[in-house]
Amino acid sequence: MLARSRALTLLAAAAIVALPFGISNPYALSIIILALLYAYLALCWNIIGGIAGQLSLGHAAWFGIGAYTSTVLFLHWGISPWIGMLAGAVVAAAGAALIGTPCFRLRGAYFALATIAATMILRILVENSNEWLGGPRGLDVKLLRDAPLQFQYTRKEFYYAIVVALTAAGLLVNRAVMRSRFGHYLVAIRYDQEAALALGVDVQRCKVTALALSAALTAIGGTFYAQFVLFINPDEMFSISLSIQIAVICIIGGRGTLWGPVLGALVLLLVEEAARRVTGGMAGADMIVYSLVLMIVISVEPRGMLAILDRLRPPSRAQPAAHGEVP
Amino acid sequence: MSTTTILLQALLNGVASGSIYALIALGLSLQFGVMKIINFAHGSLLMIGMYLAVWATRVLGVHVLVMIPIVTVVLFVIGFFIQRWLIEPIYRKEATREPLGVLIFTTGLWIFLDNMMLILAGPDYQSLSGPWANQVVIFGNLIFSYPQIAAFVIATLVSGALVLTLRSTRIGRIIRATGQDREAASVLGIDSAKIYQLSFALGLTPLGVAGCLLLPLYPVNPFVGDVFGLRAFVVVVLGGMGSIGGAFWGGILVGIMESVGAQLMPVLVTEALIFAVFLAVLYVRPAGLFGLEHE
Amino acid sequence: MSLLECRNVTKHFGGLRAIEDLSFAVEPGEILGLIGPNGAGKTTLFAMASGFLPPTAGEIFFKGRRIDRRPPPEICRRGLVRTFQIVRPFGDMSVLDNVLVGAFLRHKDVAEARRVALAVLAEVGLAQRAAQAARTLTLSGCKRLEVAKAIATQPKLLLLDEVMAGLTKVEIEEMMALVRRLCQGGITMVMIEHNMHAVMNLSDRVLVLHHGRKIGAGKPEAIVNDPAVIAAYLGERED
Repeated sequence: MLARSRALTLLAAAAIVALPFGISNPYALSIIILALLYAYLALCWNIIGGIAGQLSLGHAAWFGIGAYTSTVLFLHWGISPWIGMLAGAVVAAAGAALIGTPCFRLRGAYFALATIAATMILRILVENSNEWLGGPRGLDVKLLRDAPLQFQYTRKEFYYAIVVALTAAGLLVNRAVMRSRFGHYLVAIRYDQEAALALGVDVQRCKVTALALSAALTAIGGTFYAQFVLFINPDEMFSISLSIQIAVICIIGGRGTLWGPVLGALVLLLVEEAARRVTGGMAGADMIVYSLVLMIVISVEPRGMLAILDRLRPPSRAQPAAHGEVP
Repeated sequence: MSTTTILLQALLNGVASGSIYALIALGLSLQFGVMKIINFAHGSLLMIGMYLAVWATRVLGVHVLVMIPIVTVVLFVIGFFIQRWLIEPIYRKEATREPLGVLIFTTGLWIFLDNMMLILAGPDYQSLSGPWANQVVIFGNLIFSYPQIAAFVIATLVSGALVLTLRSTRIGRIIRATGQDREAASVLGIDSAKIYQLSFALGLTPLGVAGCLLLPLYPVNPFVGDVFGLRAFVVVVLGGMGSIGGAFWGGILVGIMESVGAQLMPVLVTEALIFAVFLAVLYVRPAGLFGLEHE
Repeated sequence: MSLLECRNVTKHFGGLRAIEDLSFAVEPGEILGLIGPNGAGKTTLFAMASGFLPPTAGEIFFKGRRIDRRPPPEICRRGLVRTFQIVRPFGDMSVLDNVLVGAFLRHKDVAEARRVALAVLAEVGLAQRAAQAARTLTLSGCKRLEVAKAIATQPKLLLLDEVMAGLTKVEIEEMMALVRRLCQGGITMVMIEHNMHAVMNLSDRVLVLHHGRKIGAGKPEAIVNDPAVIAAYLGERED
């Protein structure tokens, strides 16, 4: 049993490494890179939205902060985006602590509204800025062609490798959290905050920590995106639609689980491609299928597609308590 | 024109647009007050109402104000359907204490409706044609368009009617009782499921009125609901979640802030300011400026 | 020194007077029964002692230090924990994980906390259900889980809120045996109960509340014969 899963893991790893070499179409590789980025972002969101159960609809804020921090540091002070990426994570974590502390006193729905408002304010502030932050036009990341130390390369395989590493990191962080005392506290908060309080859980501090961690990791994704497309603007970076997409991917796949976010990103990828093929790229078609999937999944099985797949599998031996995934 | 006149005009313009915001927010407040759900598809349903009105005035040639009862009824029926067949099953399945399933569902509905209209009606703005929308009335130095006056008068009347219905009629009391304590209400023989259906549907009716009133003032496109929907949430929070009367005054306040603010600072800064006030109120006084909700 | 002491505690909700000028003390090692007709303010008292509600007036002391208005997690850390009248298990989490949350208070290491949690489960008789989802438990199991979660935090004082409610005769005897074991293990307890059999057999002392006021306190046998107490219960259904 153990040998079989190890063999499967090696096979999967080999497939992942070999993938870019098997694809001749650079466009296809771009799609896969973006899908993996979404998987990574959904994994980041999962920490606060899935495990802790706090519906954040403002994660684009952290994404944008990451993108802008690294880009501004690079353009104005020549600091490598690798360092800028870490700086962006710190700024995002600080921002999360700032916003989270007052907002987490609010009930679930109020909190969601507050996150939307915070993102809107950020977007408006950046749109209104001068050339320093680029204003509504946005910022171009200076094209360096092959400069891996400056987080740029002409070949897409460079970005593919990085995003695979990011996704793996996202999975590892989620797993570590789920197995830890902190993670158990977050799940308790998700189910019943008051009962958690009664058992000595510092609910406020746990939530803020989870948000800060999630924000920092999301910001790293923002830097990656900035270096991948080499152009950022407030409309795209701080968009509500991006916030919602990140949340929806995680929810469709299975929030609070380890592989749910990845599954959700895969579903999104398939849906977008299918919609594109069937409708010939009609605007809004992919969002329609995608929102339908969301509504159906949440009605049929609120816990997401991973739970649906679990139901279809033949019943196996009961899992030992508290091992691996936390429901 | 003197500054006072400009500001006064802006203030009154704000009251007119604010009364429409109030109307939009009223329904949201009702839904939250009774069922404790937050309907993120509210703005999109307003947009649907507006498209219905545009279509009817274009194709059937009726005056937009005539469409008010028709659009209202259509939205009522749609609301009933949504609550009964889509939201209720999810509501009953919630395992956690903080029911997010409905919130997520309405988010999906929001995206679905917006993009559905994008495909059906295209991305372009459509507005009301016709002379009525452009006629004005002049009071001294102040100018008001017919649509503005109609908006203020009708919105205020409808809001008042809704508030009165909830406070004084039997069905209104039943609705409020169910909202306060579902279990106690069922002991009294009230079918809370039916009340929820009624409340949700009733919550959408002001959108029908608001959509028709809005159309002469704003063009419609598939994403117009996002802007107004978000406004409505700000209004509801300012006025106090669950307080219908509060939602009315909150709407007027937001309308004034927007209109007067636009005279004093760049539009975008006014936007940011409104959201900042929103956050501040959420933090400092979650019960809202006029709210009565007990936690 | 008393373990828990309430001095002139009052709680008003708007016009509703839930607790009125209540003073009493709980001594270490005893089981204090808290009885009174429905609406007498008993659960409100627990909520104030555990930090979920601030008193309108008065003070509450635990181990000699003031705890009123302190946040619940801090009070729990000091050694006072409550159970809820309507059980609140963490739904889809396993029974073991539920208790683990409590055990984590004193044991940061996961493996060690798990050992403690398993020991607690054995203590309450839920060991064989460790892997089950909490919401699949019977009422008796839920009540025992509620107690297990609380004692996993290794409290000095345990506030039990109607832990016998809804149980069969046999289950009540089992629960009573558990309560006695816990007391022998060194946990002081205050029990809100309507079941007179349990109250009489377990309590060292009994406190009677009616309309938020203390109308009787003393040994169980004395309370049962107290005319004021009997009058308060006239017309009330004794479980």
